[in-house]
Amino acid sequence: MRFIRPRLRKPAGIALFGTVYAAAWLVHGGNGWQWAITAEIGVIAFTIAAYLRGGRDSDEDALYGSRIDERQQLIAQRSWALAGKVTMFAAFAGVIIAVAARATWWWPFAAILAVTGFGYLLGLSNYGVGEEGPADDADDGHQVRSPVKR
Amino acid sequence: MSRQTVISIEGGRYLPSLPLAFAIARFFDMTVDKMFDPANEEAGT
Repeated sequence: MRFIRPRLRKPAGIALFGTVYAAAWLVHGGNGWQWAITAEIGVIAFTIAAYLRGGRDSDEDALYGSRIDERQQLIAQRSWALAGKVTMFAAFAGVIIAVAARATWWWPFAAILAVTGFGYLLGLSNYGVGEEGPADDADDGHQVRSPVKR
Repeated sequence: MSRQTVISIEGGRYLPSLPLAFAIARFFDMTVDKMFDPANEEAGT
């Protein structure tokens, strides 16, 4: 997305994913084309709104304009983390209710739970655990030469 | 750095990262410890 101007990145993403959603309704067949047109109109409106918001002066509008500083990036990361937690708890509640009700639709909740849990483990792997390097004074048993010449 | 972040730093609601703290201190020709010393904020200086 680096080749797109920052202010156009979010609107372009909304337009792309929204159009894919509308296309899915079109492929669905039957009266799906009506939903596709409705969805595409909504996507165009949302895309224009996102572009206009990207030029305004607030934390949320900075996110739309892809011109966030470190504090706004922290806010966005915390928001995504909260979204992930809420999704996990909602999926867990769905599994519990479906199992208790002896319903056959338990597996979509289990799938969401598994994917979110996998995303969490992926995050740990990428951003935290396992990044530790050797200690500064580690010499692997070899004699370390002094940088000071005698 | 956005206007909102400047306000948050001034109000003590956000502590900047070390690179940003150094950049701010350099801009005001001060040292980081003088700009962001919590003891100074408690004393109201």
